[in-house]
Amino acid sequence: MVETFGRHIRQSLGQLSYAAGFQLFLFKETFNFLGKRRIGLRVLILQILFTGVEALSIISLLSLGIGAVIIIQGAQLPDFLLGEQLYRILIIVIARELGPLLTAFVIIARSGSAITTELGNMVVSHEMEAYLSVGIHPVSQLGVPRLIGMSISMFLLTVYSNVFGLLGSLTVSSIITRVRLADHLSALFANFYLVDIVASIAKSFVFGIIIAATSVYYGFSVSGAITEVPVKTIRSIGVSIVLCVIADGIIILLTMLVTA
Amino acid sequence: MIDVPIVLDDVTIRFDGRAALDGLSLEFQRGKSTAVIGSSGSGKSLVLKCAAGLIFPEEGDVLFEGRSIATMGEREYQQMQARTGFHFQDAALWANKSLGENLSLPLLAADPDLSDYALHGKVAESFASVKLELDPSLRPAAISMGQQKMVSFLRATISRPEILFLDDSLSFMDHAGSRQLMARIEEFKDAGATIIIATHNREFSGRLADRVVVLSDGRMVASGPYQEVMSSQDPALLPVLRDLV
Repeated sequence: MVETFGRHIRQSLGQLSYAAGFQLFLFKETFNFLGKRRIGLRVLILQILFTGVEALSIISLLSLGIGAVIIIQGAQLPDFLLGEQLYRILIIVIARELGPLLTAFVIIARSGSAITTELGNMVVSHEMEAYLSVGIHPVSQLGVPRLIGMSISMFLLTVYSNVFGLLGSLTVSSIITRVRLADHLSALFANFYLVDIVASIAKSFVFGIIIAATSVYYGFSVSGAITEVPVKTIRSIGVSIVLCVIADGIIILLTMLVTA
Repeated sequence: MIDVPIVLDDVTIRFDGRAALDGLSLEFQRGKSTAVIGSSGSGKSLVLKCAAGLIFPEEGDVLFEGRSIATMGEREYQQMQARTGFHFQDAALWANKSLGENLSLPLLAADPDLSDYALHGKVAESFASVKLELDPSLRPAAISMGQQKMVSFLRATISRPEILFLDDSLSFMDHAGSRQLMARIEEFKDAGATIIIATHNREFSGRLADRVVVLSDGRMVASGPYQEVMSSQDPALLPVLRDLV
C-alpha cells in the first residue's frame, strides 16, 4: 500500500518535472523563432487562419447571442436598463469576463483539441522522428508556430467577441428602451477604463498561451499507440479549461488589487 | 576522421518493463555497410533509431564520432543529422506537406538561405534520379505506399548524407521499385557512404551488407561477414535465418 502510494507520487513528480521541462523548452524555442521563420512561417500562418479566421462565424454568433440574452434577462430587473450602471455591467461582464472566457472555451474545443489530435497522430505515424532525422526539432517546427499563432488569434478573437457581444447587448437595449444605438455607444465608450482594456487583453494572451502550451504538450505526450490520441485529447481539453479558469481568477484578483 | 562513427555502448531500452534492447553494444565502421537482421520484434528498428539519435536509450550511451548524442547541443545535433539520412519503414512522410515540400525541408534545414530556384531544381533532380513522374504539389495520401517509400528514400538522401539508415526499405515496394532502390543504394555504397540496414530480406542484405548483425530479443546473437553468418549451423541462429525472406 505504502509502496504503491510512493510509486504513484514518484511517477507524478516525474511527469510534472517532464511537463515543466517541456514547457521551458517550448518557450525558449519561441524566443528563437525569428531566426528560423522561413521554415515555421507557413505553419504560423495556417494556425492563425484555422484558429482565428475560421472561428469568426461561431464567435460572432455566440457573442451576439449572449450579449442579447444578458439584456433580455436583465430587462426583467427593475431599473436595469436605466442609468450609467448598465454600461459598467456590460463592460465588466462582456469585455472583462465573458468575452475572453467564452472565446477561450470555443478555442479549446475547436483548435486545442485539433492540435492535440494532429500532433498525436504525427507521433504515431513517426512524422516527429522524421523531423528529428533532418535536424529539425519537432517542438520548434510544430509547437512554436502553434503557440504564437494561437496567442495572436486569441487576442484578435477576444476583441472581435467583445465588439459583437457589446453590439448585441446595445442593439437589443436600444430596441427595448428606444434609445438610439449611437447614444448607447457613446455612453459605453465614456464608461470604458484602461483597466478594462488591459484586463481583457491580458486574459486573451494568457488564455491563448495556456491553450496552445497544453494542447501541444498533450499532443507530444502520445507515445506511439493510436488509441492514446483521443485519451490525450480529452485530457488536454479538461486541463486547458481548468488552467484558464484558474488564470482568470488570478487576473481578476490582480485587477482588483490594482484598482483598489 | 574517426573510423567508427557510431558506437552503441551497452544500450538498454524497455517498453512496459520488457527490454526491447538489452545491454546491446555495437560499432558501425565508416564506409562499410552493416545489415541488422532478426525476426519481427527483435529490435532491428530500435537499433537504427538509437544509432541515428532519434530515440535515446534508458541505459548506456550512443556515440557519434566519439561524442555522446544525448549530451549534444542543438547546433551539434543538427550538424550530425545533416550528415545522416533515415529511410523509415512506413515512409513517415509529412502528411500535411506536399511531396515537393517533403523533399525541400531537409535542404532548408541544412541551408535556410537556399533560393527557391535552387530548391526546386534539387527537388526536380531528385525525382528524376529514380524516374519518378509525380506532381510535387501532391500530398502523400494521394500516392501509393510504394511511391511514398520511394519519396521517403529521396528525402533521406537529397542532402547526400555520409551515413544512411535504411529501416526495412523494401517493404511495400514492388519488384521494379525494389530493384531501382537497390541500385540507388549501391551508388551510395560505391561513393563510400556508411550504410546501416534493418531488414529480413536475404537478397537485400546479401547484395549490400559487408557485415551482418543478428538480433534476437534485443540481444546480439551473431555478428560477422555475410557468408559466414548465413552458413552458420549454430542452433540458436537457425530459426532467425529461416525467417529471412
